[in-house]
Amino acid sequence: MKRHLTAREAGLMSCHVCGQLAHIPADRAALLRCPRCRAPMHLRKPASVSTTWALIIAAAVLFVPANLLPMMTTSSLLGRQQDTIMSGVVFLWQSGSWPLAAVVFFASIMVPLLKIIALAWLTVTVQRRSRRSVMQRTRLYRIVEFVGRWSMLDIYVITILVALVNFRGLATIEAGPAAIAFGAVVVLTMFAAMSFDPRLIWDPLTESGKPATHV
Amino acid sequence: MSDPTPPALPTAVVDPPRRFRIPLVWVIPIVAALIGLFLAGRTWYEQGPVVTLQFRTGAGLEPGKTRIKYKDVDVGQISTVRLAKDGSHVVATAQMAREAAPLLVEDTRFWVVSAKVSGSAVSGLDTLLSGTYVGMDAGKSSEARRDFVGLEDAPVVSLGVPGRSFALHADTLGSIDVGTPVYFRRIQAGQVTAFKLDDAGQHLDIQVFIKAPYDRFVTIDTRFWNASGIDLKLGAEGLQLNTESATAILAGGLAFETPPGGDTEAAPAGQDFRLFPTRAEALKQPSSNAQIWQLRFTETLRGLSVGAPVDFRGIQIGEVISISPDVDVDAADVGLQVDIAVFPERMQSRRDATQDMSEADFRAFVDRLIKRGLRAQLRNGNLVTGQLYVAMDFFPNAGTAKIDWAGQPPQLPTQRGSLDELQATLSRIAAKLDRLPLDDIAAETRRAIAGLASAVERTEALMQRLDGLASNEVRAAVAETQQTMAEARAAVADGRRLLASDAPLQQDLRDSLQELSRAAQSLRHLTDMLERNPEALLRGKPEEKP
Repeated sequence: MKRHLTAREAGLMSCHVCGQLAHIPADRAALLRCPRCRAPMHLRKPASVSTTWALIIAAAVLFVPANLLPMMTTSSLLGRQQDTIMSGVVFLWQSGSWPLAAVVFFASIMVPLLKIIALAWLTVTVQRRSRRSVMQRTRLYRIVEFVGRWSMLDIYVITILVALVNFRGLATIEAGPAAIAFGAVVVLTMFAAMSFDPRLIWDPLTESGKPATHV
Repeated sequence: MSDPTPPALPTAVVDPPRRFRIPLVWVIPIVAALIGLFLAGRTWYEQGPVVTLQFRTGAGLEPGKTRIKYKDVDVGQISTVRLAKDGSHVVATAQMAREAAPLLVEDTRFWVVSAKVSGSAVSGLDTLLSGTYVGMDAGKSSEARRDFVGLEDAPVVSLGVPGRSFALHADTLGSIDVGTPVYFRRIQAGQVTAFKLDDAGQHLDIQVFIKAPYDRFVTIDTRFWNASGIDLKLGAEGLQLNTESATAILAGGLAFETPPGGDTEAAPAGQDFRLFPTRAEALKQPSSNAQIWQLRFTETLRGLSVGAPVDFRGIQIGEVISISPDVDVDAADVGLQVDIAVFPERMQSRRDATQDMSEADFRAFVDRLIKRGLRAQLRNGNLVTGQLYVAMDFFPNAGTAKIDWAGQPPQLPTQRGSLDELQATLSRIAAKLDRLPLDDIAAETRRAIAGLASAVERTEALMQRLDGLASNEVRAAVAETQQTMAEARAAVADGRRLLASDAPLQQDLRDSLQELSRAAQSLRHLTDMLERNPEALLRGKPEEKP
């Protein structure tokens, strides 16, 4: 792969907020500020790897209750029913709505899970300064970031149902504790994707063998 | 590598370095872990014990759906339903809530609740919509248990309801069923919880549960009776209609009451009682104190039934307990014997003089009563229905009678019935009238008058002889006497005419006597007919059958 000059190599850095380019001063340990908007300036997102790790771990922890606890409590004349995400998928599958079951399964179970795995893999490879399949990893990062918001499908459905179906005595739908956990998983993975700096994927290529200085 | 950067670019501003920054981002996974731990802990904490329930069938049991309810609160859920190894029943496992754990003890009961409609109650209608659920009734035992055998039917009374159970013994079930109400003064005080035939198949053991606070009105002396349906009774007392409530009419019911003066101490739980068929029977004096007497009647007992009252001048002192023919082979006679039970308590005098009487004193007392004319007699209690009852009364003119105390039971002397007596008396009068020698009397009278006439004639002849002899005065006197004699003769002729066998007076008298005889005969027919067909008084004479 053809190597291109990076901003760091050129002794330049850009402001995250206003995009102003500036020279990197000699004192690298100092806290840098944008000469235009006074926002803090960094060569790379600060503490990207550890932040991503923290968020991924949090998301992974919450993924467990999100799948085990009831997502939705349907109370009607016919009784009270609590559904987890998986029991909803099973119900849809058994009632013959296979496409819908597949959609819910992918959007609500596979996607968050794959996102967590993908982010963890990205972070691990960055930490290990891997030089392999850089292009694929960058693409994966793009997909992860794009897909993130779509995982909120379940939460949207529930919020709409809770608001719509509220016939006191006849039928009410309440969000279960898993809804909060699931929402937290989705938000945390989105933050994790945000906090991950994709430039780190490319850094090992530029600094052959040298540890990157994430200032 | 050349420097392509235009020199016009500013350099980043350098701030003094900040001291060590706590990586706040790590708070997030810690919080997430705490939440996760909290949720896991709570789930684990709420997870109650797993119990297995045996049911005869798995009807309505759905794994993961069917709930277990105690006091209408969810306490668990059926998690699996599978067939027992030998296929004889169904074993369901249920995940119970943690708060239900202390309720799962030795005598806790489970049953399947589904819609049930019976004559007296409609229950479980909510299950039509919500589906079957498993009902639970927490036991009182302190011994924990995890495997249970489900009941076939919902228990009528849950263990938590205060009250007491009693056992009733009855000959037939009648319209009693599990759940049949038990009334106390027409308030529903309890229910039938179970019934079963005893081992010999002779009696029924019926379990009833009386709710608090009514259970304390059940005492040792309390009587239970079957208050089912309408108790329509046609007896010597007339038409009687008794019923407990509309539900009891439709679906049956029991009732209880303590007779006045009975024990007021509440009976212990499980006490045995007899179930009487009717209220009247239940509230009668206990028959253990009854005295059995035998009566022997020669007249017809049509209209006398077992249970008919024995009455002393309007006070019921007993009842007829059996009626049977009594064949005396030696005398070639068939009498009818009626056994009566007399309750001496009802005859107690105000001073309770008879209460502590010894057996010998009592016999002497009864002997004195018999001497004074105490007799049993059949009387018509109801002219309309022809029901008879046994009356005890004094008949001072009755002949002498004695009680044979050796008899078992002793026999009381009887008196013919009042209607029967009247009939007998009338026929006796008619017979006597019949026997009067009216013809002889008439002949005698006629002979006497003839004698008188000849005497008069002779006197006349004497007078004529005297006529010649007597002076004028005497003649005048004789003439007067003659006139008197003529009048006397006329009178005699009148008398003879009167006494002639075809004289109107005699004819009239004979006619009247015949008429009276016929009347007596008709009266006999009437009483006969009335005795055979008492309803004729109401309906008229029955059609003669060809």
